Amino acid sequence: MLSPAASRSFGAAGAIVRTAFLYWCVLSLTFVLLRMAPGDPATFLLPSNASAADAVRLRATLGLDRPVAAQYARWTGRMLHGDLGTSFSEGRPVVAVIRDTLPISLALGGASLLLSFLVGTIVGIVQSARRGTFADFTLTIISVVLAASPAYWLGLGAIAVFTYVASLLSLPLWLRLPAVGMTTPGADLHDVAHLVDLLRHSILPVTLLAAIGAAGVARYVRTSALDVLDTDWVRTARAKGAPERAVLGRHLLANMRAPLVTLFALALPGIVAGSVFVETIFGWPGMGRLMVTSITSRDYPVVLGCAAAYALLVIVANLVAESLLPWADPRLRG
Amino acid sequence: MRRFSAFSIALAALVLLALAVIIVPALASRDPSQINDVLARRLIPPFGRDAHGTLHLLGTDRFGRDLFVRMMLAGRLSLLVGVIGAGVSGLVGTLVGALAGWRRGVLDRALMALADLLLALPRIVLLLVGVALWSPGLTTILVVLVATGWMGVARLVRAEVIAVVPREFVTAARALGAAPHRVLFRHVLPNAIGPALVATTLGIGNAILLESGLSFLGLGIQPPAPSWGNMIAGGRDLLVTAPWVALAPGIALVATVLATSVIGDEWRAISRD
Repeated sequence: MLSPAASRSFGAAGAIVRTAFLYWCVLSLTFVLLRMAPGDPATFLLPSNASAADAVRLRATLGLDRPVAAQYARWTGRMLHGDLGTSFSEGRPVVAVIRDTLPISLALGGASLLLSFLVGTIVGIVQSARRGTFADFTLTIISVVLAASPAYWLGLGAIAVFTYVASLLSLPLWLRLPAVGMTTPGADLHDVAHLVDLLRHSILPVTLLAAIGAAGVARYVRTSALDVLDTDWVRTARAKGAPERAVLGRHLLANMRAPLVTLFALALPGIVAGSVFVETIFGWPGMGRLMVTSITSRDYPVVLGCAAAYALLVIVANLVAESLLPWADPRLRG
Repeated sequence: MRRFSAFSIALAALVLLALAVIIVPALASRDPSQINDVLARRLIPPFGRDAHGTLHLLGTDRFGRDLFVRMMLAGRLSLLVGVIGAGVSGLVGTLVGALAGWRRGVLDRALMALADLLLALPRIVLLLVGVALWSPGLTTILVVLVATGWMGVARLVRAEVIAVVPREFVTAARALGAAPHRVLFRHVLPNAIGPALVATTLGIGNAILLESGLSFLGLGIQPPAPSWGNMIAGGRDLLVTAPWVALAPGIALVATVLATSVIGDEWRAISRD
């Protein structure tokens, strides 16, 4: 991410140019990684059942018999045309495979990110307002433990509780949440019924991701809020006799915007990491699960394509956070 | 007072775990990876005895292997990955950050640009690419953990070095004719390394979590070698019949990560006061 000073001197256009340059570097990194990996890149890009003749043909098509500089130029050209190669296992362009899975990950991650910010901010502010009380202590312990727990382990626990334990306790059917997949297989549902089905399937994965995210947000918000509550202007507001609600609502929240915007960019990689495991556990056909299955099936173009897509997400999030910072903190407006 | 006690409890827990992972597998009566008489030994619940009369503190898995011994063996690996993965990352980060903050100029900009570049990719994604291109295993995991873990520390150390260099004792050391490397390593770095040590400690838990995650996905430590991640994966389809198989290594994992993060957090809080 750019420093605020750099942003001011380059302006929005400069920030976009630098972001594009950073992304080009990331894409080049995938080229370098593929070249650094042991063995001939052609063997990485060929399915395991390919013959030696196939390898020779691919080396010629990819220009692997030419100098590295020429290869890099050719590869850049393909990237600029949005060509990330062809998936081995599906035989379709990588871009098309990613286009099918990305919306699912975006919906899952987006909903979780939104929820985790909503819940985390409220919890963090409540904690800071009740600093040192039993509630603050309990919430701190919960958030610290959640932050230390692997998403996949919590996911397995949630599945066991909401399917097996729920049926053991003969809880009502609506409490036994579906644990696997996005929709009920074979059920030919439409409109509202389909939506309800989808929502029921998303409760466990979204809640899990959101809970882990909220734990991180709450810890961060609590610390930042305590910093603000210790400032002179908060003391002045209280001395004036401003009600606590006004202190928290007006003075605290206004000063929390900038830390929250920064946290948005910082939280995204965590949501990405969580979604890789949550999609795998709950059988959601998103990009995280695609990346894991592609590694198992040695589908290298898809693995590198997913990495490129994730990098684009993070870089765009950083750019958005950076352009929101002057809105959040008037001191950064130049 | 409470801060001090949380710190000591976490530290005591880690020391206890470190001792246990060294001692317990050495005392085990049978080779924990050896499988024999599966029918008599498999899926014994915690504190249960198998048909041969052997007590299994945490029960056994589907192959009749003692979970407690396997968990401690896995703990060796996890602690190793955590300490080496985070420690070497911290060392590399400190050196890079010190170099960048000390030399400034083109080198500084190049190193920080590289850090920005690597920070643009979520760490788990880089790890997944790493195990995809190289073969899954301990070496790959450690190399990728270090390659993707030094940037945070490097930024911290760089900022501290830049803040320390203009201070008077540095000027004094220079005026006394100390060689540049002596000024950097004896006078600047000891005053700039605090935040880096805290960040490295916090990185241990992160490294352990990442390794366990990869192993859970089948892309890290390969069975029969035990890792908390692949042990949880082994209990995945036994959640209903034998929940302890996935529960025990998970608790060990959470407790270890929790202990390192408490130590890191408290250390940071203490050094700030």
